[in-house]
Amino acid sequence: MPASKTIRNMRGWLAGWFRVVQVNFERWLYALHRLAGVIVGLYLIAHIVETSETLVGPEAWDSTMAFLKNPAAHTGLLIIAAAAVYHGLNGVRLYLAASGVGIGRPVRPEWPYTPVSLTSSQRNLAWIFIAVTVVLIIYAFYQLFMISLWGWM
Amino acid sequence: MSETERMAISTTLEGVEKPVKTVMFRVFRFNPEKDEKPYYKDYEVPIYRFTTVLDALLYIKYNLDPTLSVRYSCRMGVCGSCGMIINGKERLACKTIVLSLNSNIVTVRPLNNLPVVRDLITDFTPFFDKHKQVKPYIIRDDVEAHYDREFIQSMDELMEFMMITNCIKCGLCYSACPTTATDELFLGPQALAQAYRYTIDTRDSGAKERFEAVDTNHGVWRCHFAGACSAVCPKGVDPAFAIQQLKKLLLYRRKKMEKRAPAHESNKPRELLKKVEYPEGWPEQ
Repeated sequence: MPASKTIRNMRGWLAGWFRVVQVNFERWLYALHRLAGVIVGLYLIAHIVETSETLVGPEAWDSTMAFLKNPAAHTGLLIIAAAAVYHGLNGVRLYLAASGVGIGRPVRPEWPYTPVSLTSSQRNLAWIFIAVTVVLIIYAFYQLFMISLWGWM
Repeated sequence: MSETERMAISTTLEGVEKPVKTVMFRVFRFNPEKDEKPYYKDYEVPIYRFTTVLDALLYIKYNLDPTLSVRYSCRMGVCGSCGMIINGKERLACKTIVLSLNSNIVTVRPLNNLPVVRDLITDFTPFFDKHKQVKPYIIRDDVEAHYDREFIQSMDELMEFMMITNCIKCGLCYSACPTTATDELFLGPQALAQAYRYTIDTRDSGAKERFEAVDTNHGVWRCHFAGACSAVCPKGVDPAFAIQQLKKLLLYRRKKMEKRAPAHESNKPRELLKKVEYPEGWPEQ
């Protein structure tokens, strides 16, 4: 007998990807990875629109560049740079995990169960990559704000 | 039980004779015949030291509201029927002591990403369909011919997949996985872990068929290692590990696995199949 009426109960992207309360560390990395991927994907479209100004002529390109040289646009670029670096490095971690690096060896399941993949070296690797991301964000800040916008150097 | 024994227990185990506190249970309710929308209903439940969430739900069913629907069987974390979301995290109701939640309000919801039939009961059809899709059984050509022999397997070979055999199909990982939240066709952590468990088993030679089932757009490559499945598993299965290992097989050892000859059988008949001697007077089997 088919059920008369059921609730579909799929969580969707907001409650599914970004439900990060009471969860493990990798779950946060996953949410950030998705967010960064969406940001970089949207930037790709904006980037094509922006660079297509060169088809109009050098003046149009120069005026676009002058229009984009303000703190709001450069903050956007900083976020995009951070997203791109994080997405790339976390992708390397995922590739290594899919190659069996840093996810441990299977264990005999005994109470209290600790999942090997969540306690192995891939977690340290994630912290290293986050540190690299932070360093590169600082470098991007230096380039985008201190040199390009404020002209300190 | 004598009075002295009762006293001994009550002095050593506080909270066994009298309730420790009263906890508010906020339970997801939905009756498809009456309700348009689901809603939450509150119940006050006296909590003893060892009261589990399942005990509390059954207390509600017996004493406060007999219309509450719960699915459960074994009450000891073996059958995997009572998976639900308790205070925002996927847990087995029978293995969750209410006091361990450290909360005066306990919210109970049915599992995510599976259709809700009524109250806390979800329809596991999509879950089991995906389980079947990955062919979760030993595939080999000579099974019928050697029914009375066992296949030789070393302890190391067994340890490769031992932990995944603990799976009780409770659906907690399927509910916790962020990828199933947006992809209805994604096989899910449980099915993919089973695919790895049977592929890596040395007695099996069905790697080709199983790879075809998991190497798809909605198969193993949809997993991005969120690890939520392993974090909520109540039985120590590590689906995240298994899925990464399955990817490893697909990336580096695909041809080798597809051509691998299954473990050969023992040359001794299985002792269990020896004729059983029945006591006198038993009917002939």
